[in-house]
Amino acid sequence: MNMTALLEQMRPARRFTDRPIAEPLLLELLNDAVWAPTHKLREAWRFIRITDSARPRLRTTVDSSRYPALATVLKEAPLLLIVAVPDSPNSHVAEDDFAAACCLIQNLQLLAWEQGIGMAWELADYSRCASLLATAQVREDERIAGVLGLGYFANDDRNADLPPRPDSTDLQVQVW
Amino acid sequence: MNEYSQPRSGISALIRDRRTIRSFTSDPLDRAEVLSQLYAAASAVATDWTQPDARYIFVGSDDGKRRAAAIIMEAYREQGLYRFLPDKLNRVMQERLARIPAYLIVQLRTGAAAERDLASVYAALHRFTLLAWSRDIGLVWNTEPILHKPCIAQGFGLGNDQRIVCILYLGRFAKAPKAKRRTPAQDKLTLLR
Repeated sequence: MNMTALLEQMRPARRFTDRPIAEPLLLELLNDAVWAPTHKLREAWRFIRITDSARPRLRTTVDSSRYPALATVLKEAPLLLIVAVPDSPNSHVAEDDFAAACCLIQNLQLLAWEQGIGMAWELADYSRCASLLATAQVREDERIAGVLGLGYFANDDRNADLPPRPDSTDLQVQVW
Repeated sequence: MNEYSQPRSGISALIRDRRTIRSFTSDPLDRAEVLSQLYAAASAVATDWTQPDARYIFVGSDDGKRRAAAIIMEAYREQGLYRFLPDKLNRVMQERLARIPAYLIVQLRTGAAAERDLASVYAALHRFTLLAWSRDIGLVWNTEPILHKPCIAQGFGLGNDQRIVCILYLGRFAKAPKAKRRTPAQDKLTLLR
């Protein structure tokens, strides 16, 4: 699929089938995704895969009335992955590392979509979720760039139930 | 090799082949082409989040570049980096900026969901980077701390609740840098059991 078509079709995933994502495929996707731009090649990201045995423990740390989307992803996505980055005391370095992780996450979503796999990207103010961070073993000098839920689309129909694209007038450009 | 290794899809090859481009040819960029790529990238829907309030300045005319380069040079001077350097070097830098085919100045209104808005903009800019690369346009993200100097805010017309995200420098290129090895994902993956 070319990039233009992919950008038109891609949507955040909301519903998944139970079909598991094979470990070699996950690694293949991640090993493509790590070709994100990263300042001074720091590659400061780190992945935490939540296994099924750890999932219930993690779910109990999230208040579903406060974080309904996050709670749903933790419950329903067949594969859960946390991307963590250093929260460097140097705000410029911290921001560059966060940007690189966001590019990596975007790569992963594009690559996954092509395989019939959807991704939901959750990003809340996790500083208020101390028990989530502790349970997921995110270190105190790190922060979360995304809690990612991945899974195959239902009926291989990835175009069903798509939210509308934003209005074209949303792009605000000045020309100098 | 496993069953997933070959052949690489179009997107996989695009993602792996992309390089940061710092050195551009003098070929001008077609403004309409770049802006349509930016639109395609920015209007893609990757998340359920509210769209961030991002604004862009596309700088492509000679006049516009002179104006933008003067603002950027002022920020370097404020930083003190170039204050004691000969005027000649200032001139060399200004000429280098003038030779870059286009700049894209990215601004964001900072609201309650600041981190999410920033993540949205980074993801959109990366989609733009990939789309531009697929049409042989290269770029570099500049995120230097000097971008947060008051003269930048004033020069590029930022409101009190707006910040600069980055400046992209764009153009065609003669040669892409060689790939540097990436750390395998396995080495950065922890299982939470």
